[in-house]
Amino acid sequence: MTQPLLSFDDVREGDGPEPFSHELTRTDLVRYSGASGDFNPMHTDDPAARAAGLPSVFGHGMFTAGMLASTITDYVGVGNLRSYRIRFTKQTWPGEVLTATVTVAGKREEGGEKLIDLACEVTNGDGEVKVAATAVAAAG
Amino acid sequence: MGEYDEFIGKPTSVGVVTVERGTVTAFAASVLDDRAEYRNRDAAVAAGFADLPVPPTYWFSAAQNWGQWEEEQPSEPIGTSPMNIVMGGLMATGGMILHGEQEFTFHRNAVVGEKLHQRGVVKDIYTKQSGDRTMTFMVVETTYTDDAGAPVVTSTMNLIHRS
Repeated sequence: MTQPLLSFDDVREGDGPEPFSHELTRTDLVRYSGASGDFNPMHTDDPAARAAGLPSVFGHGMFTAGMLASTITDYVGVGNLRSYRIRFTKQTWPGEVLTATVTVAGKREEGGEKLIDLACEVTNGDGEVKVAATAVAAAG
Repeated sequence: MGEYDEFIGKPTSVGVVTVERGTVTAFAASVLDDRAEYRNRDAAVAAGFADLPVPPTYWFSAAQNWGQWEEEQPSEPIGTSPMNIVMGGLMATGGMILHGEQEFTFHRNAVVGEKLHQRGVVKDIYTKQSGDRTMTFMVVETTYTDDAGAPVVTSTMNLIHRS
């Protein structure tokens, strides 16, 4: 098993890593389509998206959830995530700056394992929440 | 009784998934994860893994679309997936499909080279009215198990059709 980065005794409610920000590009969406195998044209084909009444292509919810997961595992250490629950609240659009925030919401011991509860979200520059998530990670 | 109750409990997918190195590395890059464990085996071993680990959200789409080698798939027929019947049928009337919620439970860490058995099942289908729109929710749980039958990852999707 891999070493948890968080110390159960030291971590405090409200702790968290520096937020991670990224400006969403169409290239991100094309690359995520290829890597995930999700080729829904609403994410890659602007004429098709406009024909469906949208202003442009929009981001895969799972791209945003993946970016947020990367921020979480950077904080808790790869291999220490026990569960991850995501609610998709708003679509994302190319050109938006997406910011992933991870905050310690609590800690507990369960089944002999030291666990940290995390409250996570991704917002755009206007503070609109795109993805709201909770995660449980192992601590040392 | 709901309109779609007959589909609850029905399988949506079954297969053998090989966790492939190139796919895992490409997926990690696609979600902006530049950690060495996902691209360098030495770094993965130094971090305590038997081989490259798998990014958490790999199990939603990548593991469904890549690494299911044709000659290794079970011959067990599941017929047309209820997903295609229900969501495909609704889309034929117009509207839009949205990903509402997604949940992963990691029972243990999988690594590159493993072959896992995946099986999806419809857990629930229900509808809600939202103004003059009908929202149809479909909950599908996909379980990845190892050769010993032990669960590795459970992935639960809540997909919405909005009329």
